[in-house]
Amino acid sequence: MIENINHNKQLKTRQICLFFIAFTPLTKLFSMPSVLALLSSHDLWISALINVVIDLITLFFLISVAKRTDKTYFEMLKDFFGNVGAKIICTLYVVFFLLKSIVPITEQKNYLEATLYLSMPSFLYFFGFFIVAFYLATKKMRVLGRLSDVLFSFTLSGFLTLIFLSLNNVDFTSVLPIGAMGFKNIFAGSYHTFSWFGDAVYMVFFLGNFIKTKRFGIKIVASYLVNAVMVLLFLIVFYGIFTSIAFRQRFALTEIAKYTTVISNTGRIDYLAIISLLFPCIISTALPLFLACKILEQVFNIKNKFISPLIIIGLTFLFVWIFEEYYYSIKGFILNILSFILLVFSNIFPLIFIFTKNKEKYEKN
Amino acid sequence: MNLSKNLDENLTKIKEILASDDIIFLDVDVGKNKGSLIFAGEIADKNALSQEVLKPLKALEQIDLSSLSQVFLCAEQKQVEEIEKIVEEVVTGNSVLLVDGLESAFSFGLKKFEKRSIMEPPTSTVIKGPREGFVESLPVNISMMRRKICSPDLKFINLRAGRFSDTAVSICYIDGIADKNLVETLKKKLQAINIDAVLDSSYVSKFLGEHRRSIFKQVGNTEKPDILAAKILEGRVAVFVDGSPIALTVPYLLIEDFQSPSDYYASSYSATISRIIRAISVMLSLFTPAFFVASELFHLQFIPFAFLLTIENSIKGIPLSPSYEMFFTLLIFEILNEASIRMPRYVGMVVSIVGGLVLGETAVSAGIISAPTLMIVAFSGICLYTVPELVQTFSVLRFLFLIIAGSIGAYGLICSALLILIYITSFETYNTPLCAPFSPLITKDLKDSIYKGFFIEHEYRPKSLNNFNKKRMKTK
Repeated sequence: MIENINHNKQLKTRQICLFFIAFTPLTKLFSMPSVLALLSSHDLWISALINVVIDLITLFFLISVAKRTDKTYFEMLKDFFGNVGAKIICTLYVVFFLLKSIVPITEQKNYLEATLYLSMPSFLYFFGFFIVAFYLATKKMRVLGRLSDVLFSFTLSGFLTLIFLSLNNVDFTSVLPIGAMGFKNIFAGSYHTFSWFGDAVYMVFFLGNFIKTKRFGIKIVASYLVNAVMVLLFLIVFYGIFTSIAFRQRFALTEIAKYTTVISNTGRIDYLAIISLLFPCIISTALPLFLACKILEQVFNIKNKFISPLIIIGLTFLFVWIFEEYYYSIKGFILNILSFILLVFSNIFPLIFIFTKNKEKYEKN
Repeated sequence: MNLSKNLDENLTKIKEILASDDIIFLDVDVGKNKGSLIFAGEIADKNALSQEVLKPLKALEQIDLSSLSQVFLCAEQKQVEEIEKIVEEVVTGNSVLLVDGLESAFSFGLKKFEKRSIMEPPTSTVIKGPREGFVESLPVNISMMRRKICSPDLKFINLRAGRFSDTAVSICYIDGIADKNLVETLKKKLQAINIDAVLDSSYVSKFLGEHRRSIFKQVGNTEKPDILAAKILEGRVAVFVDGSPIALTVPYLLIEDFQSPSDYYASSYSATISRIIRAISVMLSLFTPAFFVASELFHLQFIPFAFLLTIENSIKGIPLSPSYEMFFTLLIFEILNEASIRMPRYVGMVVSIVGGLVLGETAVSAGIISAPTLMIVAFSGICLYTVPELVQTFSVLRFLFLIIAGSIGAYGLICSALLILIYITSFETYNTPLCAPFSPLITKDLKDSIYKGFFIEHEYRPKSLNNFNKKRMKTK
């Protein structure tokens, strides 16, 4: 028999694993380290670790759900809340993803303005992001897996180069003593940076869309741990270089490796690593928009592949440019007030499906 | 329209259709009956015709018409009963004998075309390995394949395409390895071709591609029987077109163009290094001009300080902006390239001297373009020719990237490269992803990708292709 590599399921377990390595760490490397340094000082990594643990717990539960059922999230919602209920919840998820995307998009725009472009209005070049996001959203979910297969090497090579160039200047003792900032500051750091985390929510929408292989749960959790280690290592190295002035380094990605002695001989070779990271980073930033489009298509049964990207990307584009002046107020609102709502949608709400087994048993009886 | 028993009536009808001076109607005696031998004078093998058809007829005094077919010595003969079919036979080079009193005619496969001798194809020369290449004759090409693969599983399906050219087209595959659905799909596609003429395999390739407006290649090609044999043994299906020395193969993977024929006859180490060099060269060719312009215009921080000073000195007094400068230099390179291909060989030398030396050197010394720009264009141009099959596509992309980088800098370049990446990773032809085995990642197939594995590692046929009978090597 022919073994067709184009299985009906959109993704493979390996691609989900590579997805977590390629895309999820990247949006956390821009301004999140400085925000964490401001709130938790040298215990920034513990704050991040708390968010990682929350994500890991959700991931565990989602994998246990995936082991029991082949249904997609939408199908499970339909079983629980009926068609109308499922549609309402999914529409709320569209709003959730739109909110989740605002900070990383604007952050990336500001990063480009501040570090790569000095003499050009961001409207011109940053429009490219929306074109990529739009084009990506017209594709099926399979494209995420395919891109993960290619772009994980960009992430790993870029990340390792930056870390390698930075290690020379790191004072690892600066993150000691552990926990000295107190629980209040550590938890404040966790809470206010939660919008950058909540990656388990991606797994929610991969449910029922991937081919399960042997021990797929362990593989996915392991890959999530690789992502977590990358983020934590970056935070420690970042704080180890800048220590008490870390909170002033708004764009850690550009700052982290620029003091290496290698640069004085070769020029800013760290930019090669940054460019390598920008490839997966653009996809990573566009991910919430991609999922919002896919959910919208499913909820309203939209057949034309251009309609939902036009609505979602168009709305985001308008929002980013109209409220450009109020970015810091919006960012403050999302980080301070909406964090809990984001947490509910990404990590708490999906847990109701722990009960799917009971429900299926009930249906059988 | 069926033949009648009356020879004159039949001849009148045929002469109406075949009213051309090169068509010969030769009156012959078939025993006591009258007959007419019809053939195209310039493509029929007259010697064979006289030896295998006319001579036996001459020796004939009386014959029962029902056993006439046993008289001829020709190995390839058949009976035809329709006038349209007779016309088709004659225009394709066969000779047809009509006999008074018979409602069918005899067609003899005795054609003789002038054909080029087998030689090494100029597009894929090798130091080691077979040097023979396909020619324009379909029967010769088929014979070369039969010689390479002496197996009853090697199958050919003969079709015809082109309303006026009525060109012979042949599908070639290995039964038991190739996907039969793919063979059927190809057959349908070839049968559906409805154009005036199929003058080359490239005409057919346009119809085999599933994305008609795509800038990327969708059908592989080769001029070498050894390469084609290897490809169909992996599960691909080939298409030959009479009159073309290039065989087409589907499904096509992008990585194929990075694999040179010589890789399979060289050591694994040198083949791997060559492939890495090709891949790096193509990337450099594609991105260096655009990245250089973006750095010069928007991101001076990318350029090391010492190099920046050199650039600064060289661009002093240049009237054009870096992006225009690079664009026009690249355009001149493409013009020279185009001219050198089209010009007669004896003028070609002059073009390379005038273009390469005089034009380049003078433009730099006159201060019209800078030396780094010229160097980057030359480097980019040479790099692209490490993978000649991709030159057309990547030349267009290089211009596109240059315009974007010159307008909005490196971020625009990254975004446009990502758009291309999204496009090619989601691109499939005949259910085969273009970027396999990298995307989707098929680890087993990586043994013959950029890395060229040792011969013993190629135990299985590529999983990237939908093929039967995965195992190709017996191991203990």
